[in-house]
Amino acid sequence: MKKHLIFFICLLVFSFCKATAQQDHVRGKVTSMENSNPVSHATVQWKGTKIITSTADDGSFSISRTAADSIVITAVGYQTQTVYGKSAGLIQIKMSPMINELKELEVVNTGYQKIPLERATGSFGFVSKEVLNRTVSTNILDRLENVTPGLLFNRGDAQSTDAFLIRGRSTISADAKPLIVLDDFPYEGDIGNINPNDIENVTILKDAAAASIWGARAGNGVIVITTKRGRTGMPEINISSNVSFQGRPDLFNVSQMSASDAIDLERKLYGLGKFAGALKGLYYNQPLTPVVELLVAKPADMDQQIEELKQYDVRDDVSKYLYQTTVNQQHSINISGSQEKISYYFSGGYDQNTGNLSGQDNKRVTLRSASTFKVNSILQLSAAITYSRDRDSKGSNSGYSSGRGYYPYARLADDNGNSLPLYFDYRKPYIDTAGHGLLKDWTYRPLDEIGREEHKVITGNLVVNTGASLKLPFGFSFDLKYQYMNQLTDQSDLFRAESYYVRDLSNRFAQPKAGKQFDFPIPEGGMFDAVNSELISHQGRAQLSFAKNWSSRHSVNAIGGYEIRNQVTDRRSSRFYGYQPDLGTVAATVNYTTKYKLYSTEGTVNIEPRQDIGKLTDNFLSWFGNVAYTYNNKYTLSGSIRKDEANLFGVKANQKGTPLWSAGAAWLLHNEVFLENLPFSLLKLRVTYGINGNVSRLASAYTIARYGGSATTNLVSATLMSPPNENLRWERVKSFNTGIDFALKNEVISGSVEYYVKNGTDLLAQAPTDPTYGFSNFYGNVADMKGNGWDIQLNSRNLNGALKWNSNLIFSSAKQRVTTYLMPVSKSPVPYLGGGISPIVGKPLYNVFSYRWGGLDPLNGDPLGFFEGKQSKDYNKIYNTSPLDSLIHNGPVQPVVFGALRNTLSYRNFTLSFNISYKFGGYFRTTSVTYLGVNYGKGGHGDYALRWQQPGDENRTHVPSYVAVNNDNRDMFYRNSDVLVQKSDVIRLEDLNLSYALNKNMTRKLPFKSVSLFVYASNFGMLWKANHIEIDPYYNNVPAERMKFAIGTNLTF
Amino acid sequence: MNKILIVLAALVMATAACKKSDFLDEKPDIKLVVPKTLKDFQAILDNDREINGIPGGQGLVPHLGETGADNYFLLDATFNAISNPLYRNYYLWAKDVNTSNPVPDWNRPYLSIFYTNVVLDGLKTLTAGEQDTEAFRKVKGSALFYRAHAFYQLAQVFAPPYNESTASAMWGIPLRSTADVGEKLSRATLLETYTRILADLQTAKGLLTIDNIIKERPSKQAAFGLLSRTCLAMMQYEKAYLYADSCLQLKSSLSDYNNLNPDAFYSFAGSDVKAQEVIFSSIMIGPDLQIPVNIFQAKADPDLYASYADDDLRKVIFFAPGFPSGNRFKGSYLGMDNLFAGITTDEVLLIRAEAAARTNRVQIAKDDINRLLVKRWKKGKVYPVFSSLDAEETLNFVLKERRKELVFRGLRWTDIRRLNLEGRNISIRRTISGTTYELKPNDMNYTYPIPLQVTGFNPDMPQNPRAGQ
Repeated sequence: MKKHLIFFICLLVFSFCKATAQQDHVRGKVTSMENSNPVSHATVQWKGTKIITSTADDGSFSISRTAADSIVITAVGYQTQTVYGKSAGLIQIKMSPMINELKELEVVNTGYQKIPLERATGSFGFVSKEVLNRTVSTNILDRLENVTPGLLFNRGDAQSTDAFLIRGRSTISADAKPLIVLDDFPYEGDIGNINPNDIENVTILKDAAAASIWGARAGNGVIVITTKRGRTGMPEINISSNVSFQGRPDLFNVSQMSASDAIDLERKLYGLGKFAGALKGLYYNQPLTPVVELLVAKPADMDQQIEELKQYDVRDDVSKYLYQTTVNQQHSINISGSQEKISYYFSGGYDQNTGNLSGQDNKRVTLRSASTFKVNSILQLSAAITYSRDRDSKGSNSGYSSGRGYYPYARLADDNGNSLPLYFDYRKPYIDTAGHGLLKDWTYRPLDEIGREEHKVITGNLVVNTGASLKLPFGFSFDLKYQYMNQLTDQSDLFRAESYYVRDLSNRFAQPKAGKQFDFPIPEGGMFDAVNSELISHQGRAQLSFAKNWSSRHSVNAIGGYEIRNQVTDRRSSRFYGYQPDLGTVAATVNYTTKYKLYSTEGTVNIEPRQDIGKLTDNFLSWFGNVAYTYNNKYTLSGSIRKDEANLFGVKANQKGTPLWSAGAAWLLHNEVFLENLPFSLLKLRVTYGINGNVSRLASAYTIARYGGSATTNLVSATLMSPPNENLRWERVKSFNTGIDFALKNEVISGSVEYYVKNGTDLLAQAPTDPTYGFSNFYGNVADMKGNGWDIQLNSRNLNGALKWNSNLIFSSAKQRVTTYLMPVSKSPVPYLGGGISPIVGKPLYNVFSYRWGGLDPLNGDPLGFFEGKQSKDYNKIYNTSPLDSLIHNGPVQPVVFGALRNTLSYRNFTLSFNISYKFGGYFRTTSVTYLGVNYGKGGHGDYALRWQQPGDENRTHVPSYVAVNNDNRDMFYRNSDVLVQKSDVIRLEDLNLSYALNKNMTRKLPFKSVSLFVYASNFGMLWKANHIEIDPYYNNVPAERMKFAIGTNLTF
Repeated sequence: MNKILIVLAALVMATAACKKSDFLDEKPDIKLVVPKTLKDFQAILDNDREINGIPGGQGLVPHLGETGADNYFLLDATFNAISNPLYRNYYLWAKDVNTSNPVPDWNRPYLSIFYTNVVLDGLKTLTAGEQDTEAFRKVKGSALFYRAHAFYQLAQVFAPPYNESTASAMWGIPLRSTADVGEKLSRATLLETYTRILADLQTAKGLLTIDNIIKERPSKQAAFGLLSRTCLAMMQYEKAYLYADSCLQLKSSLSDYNNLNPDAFYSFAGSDVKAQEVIFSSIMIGPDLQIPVNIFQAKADPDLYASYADDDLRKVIFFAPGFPSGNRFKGSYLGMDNLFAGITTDEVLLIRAEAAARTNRVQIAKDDINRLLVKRWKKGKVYPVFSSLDAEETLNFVLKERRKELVFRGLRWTDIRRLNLEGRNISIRRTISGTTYELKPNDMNYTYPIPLQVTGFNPDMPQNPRAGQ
């Protein structure tokens, strides 16, 4: 210890000596012209020489004299300046900020430190405020789509695999979602709580060197969201407001059998006795459609009544009555500025959205206050409080979902708009007679129901950030940060007494008693389900940083620290029977234990108590260190190490943590003398390698049990979750990244090209085991995956005259395949057809497999397949037992190549920008008719009309002939044959933004600093698609979203 | 300035002072435990879903025996609608029934065995003080009972019928005795298998109490009942008689079928049969429309149906006519579509009657049968009081009643295997699409093969031989 002290004192003395000896140096200070703040890390260079230095944190520099007489100063975000360097004394240099938005890119935030991009070795994506703000949305994540390479938002069928991914999926069963970091700490709350207007910028951390600082949770990449802080200078008020509209979705995008076809088929099925089971026996009260009821009742004008029904299409009524135009309003105001030692930022936001289902709306209020207090030259304190309240409510309306038993000609209202009943649980004659009038009205009228249920979710979210930053001698600084978050979620589901849900429940539990009377075990009144959950997290970090330059050649930047995180989620759910909303009373007692014989069906059940209390705790402890060394502004080496430990359950102490590391190097070629004649202002090569991790809380080394209630005995019971697994390890993702960044001196073209390899090892998945042990599979480290791809970004300034034209092109490719998997390939192909995860060595995780299609049999329209290489109609064998290698592997579900091209044109005060996106390499299965479904007599897929009906039809259609005898295997073979698989490749015009801006410099009379007006439109649809069957892969047989149109304004005072 | 520094320092200290191990040992989910206490072990055994099977769950007792037995038949259309070839093969006793698919008949009992082994392993770690408690004895006795029950059920379908003279030369089933997944698996001999079942039940009967309110939990009478059932399967009739008698001394009440509604969809829904007759509740795997023996598609065997006299209530209580063609079984003691496969007083009474008839206790056999029939016959109608004193006649009568009483209980398969060993010559026939299939007495297909999922991991494990195509 003493030795160290002496060493430090020597250093101290030495540095003083040095300072006094700097007579042959020119000294100066670089500040910003805008607010007089010091500009650190600016490069200071004698013109025409290689003598170079950079400014310290306070903007000062000192550079040895040379023969040259002018000094060139370049700094991130500022215009390059040249000054006369021979003047005596301190040279004061005021830098004017760069207007060009591209330059903001050059400092990236990892959540631990801000790194000048020039010195970074890792792979960072950066989305500036301007890019975020050209899109109109309530949610910040929506604004990241199609603007940065490597970040994929899956749409259409692929959306159900992974909603969004950074550089592909590198885990099998752990969470593949990127880590989201808000203001330096992982954010586990609802992303919808964040007001996009409060966001300054977003950094995407893609490779090991960039993300490894986040350690065990960075395997899927990291999205770092930085909020706005107080700006320096005079107070500025910013007001923005917009409103957007979106029409009702297009229900006719969902294929449906025509009313006429459906009715003709129902008559045929009735003739075949298909409804006999529903008319008597076990299914005597099952609902029948109006046509079948007419066929049963046989009124005199039956045929006429049936013909009349053929004119209706349920989609007309559903669209008219259950959907509405979406109107979203977004307003925000913020004030920021600084006074002496304090800088501040206050903001308020209000969003009001009506959903596209009738009765659905959403409101959000956000408030934020952030301030920084500079106590003195060494201590700075900061505090920020963000509060948001989000209220989401809807009625009983699930829109056009087939679950409600809509038959093609169903009507929701008559010609005068009066609500009509729909029979989907019971037959009308049954309802009319059941309980001889003593039961509750058992009819269901969809339109009346909307307001009879109220489903609300209210989320209140409070985030408090505090921090202290202490400047220490010798380039050290110390930071303490603490974040508190509290998210309260109050979910309530009210079923009014008159709602169908309550009436039906009450009737089903009705108990006949003597004298043709009934007992009603379900208490009178409504029903109320409440789920309350509270998420509280505490996160703290202590960090020591070191930044120092020596003799203008060596520069070291290092951080090290310790982090702690504790997150507790409490959840309570309860159900109240007999709720009277106007009085606030509930039933005092409910008999949960008696098993009642149900009135309408067989079987005995008890009244569901539905109450539960749960508590989840996530604890993390981490140590981290990161160091970067730059030599002569040309060569940078970086390294990082981190150890994470978590409160994993049922594992040994040494399995609770994992150490992770990364290393990287960068070479700034444009600073090399031998390349100075090349036309590059930036030319950088970089390479990194490292290991990130992924946590899965599903795995355990010991046998663990989960407490719950038993099913039949009312005893407390425990379920064993897994067999013991002594060899459990953490998942690791090894990634390699190399890239080149470049910019021409005239700034006409700039960009970067990157290539990466991402290998997941020891991935956790369900692995098979001998079922004699009690489990057919166990959760273990059984798989490896390999992924690789390219991320390219190109920015160009095409025109720079009165008409300005900039283009931004992003291109990404991402391929993954499983390289090891201990599970043997199933002998049945069925598990691989569903679209879930069924890992196969050599293939990506999500695949489209299909049966080889042999066309239709010209004799009877049967679909033809192949079994053991020969044409076959043994659908049972084909469907259930075709070996996997006899199936066609069409390709992955997720696109392999994707990106976007954004063009920005500006002329005078007008700016027009539009974004074109593209996705290639994915596949999807189109839908078609299944006769098993059709034979229920409630309609089906519209392909029914295209079915094979007579010899020769096989030349015009691939839809098999109708069969009245259900043959599930025949249907399933056809539905999974390759004739129905299509490429999901698509190019679409995503959006367009036209804005008009004025500022005081242009129009002196303007009462504001600046004002802008914009119109924005999105979801224009496809420009091109690979399939020739007119299906938009974004909306495969689901209601298609319409174009969204927005108008808005921004005012700055 | 100094104050701030002190606050900061205090913050750092406070963070560091948090005990690291406590912090990392905190449970991520309050409901999780690493089972350690007696309470945990009792809760594991009270998991009725895995230990007994529950309605709406997957059941526990293999359906393979009932699927292969002669209580029912399928219509051609029903048979053809079964899409999984495995189940069609089961129905016709095909030689090659195995696919790589999971075989719940194997997996479900072995999962319950894993549960019991976790408990039995865990009990050894308790202190001597904890071990000397009533609760400990109850948990240990229960675990041994459940495990023996699962072994018994597995042996009825995956091991050949017990024959004293050859039992030491035949293969039984793997007898898992720990929860360790590193344990080497091999088949025990048939003798070892039954010896283990009997030994575990002997121990269990000494530990269990006669408390029998929760039928999902075992009791002393359940242990006696299962012992008598096991001895019957082993054709050790003297022992079977004694155990059945011990059981009935503790519990012997019967339900009167006159109190049931013959028009009910499920005759025993809401009835007193669980309180009166059930000693231990267990549920057969199913119902699944793929499984042939499903009450919605299985039709009662016509000969069986015809064997009930018109005044025999079991005819209308067990079967619903014409649903839609053939008679549907509706007599599960659970009062639902799940088949009941537990231990009941009527079964034990029939065991005692049979064993009595076989061991020169004809009067006892007669009394037992008459005791049963009075509860099964229409009130006011004369039931055929059995009065012969001939042992063989009595035995035949008892066996006929056993045939009629214990239908769709998962017991018939074992009975056929046993009775054919003494030459009673029972054949089962099925006709599908005009072709008749027959399972002849003592056919080797009375023993199902070990699932491929198991032999795949244990290539050396001997497979049960199968005959036919």
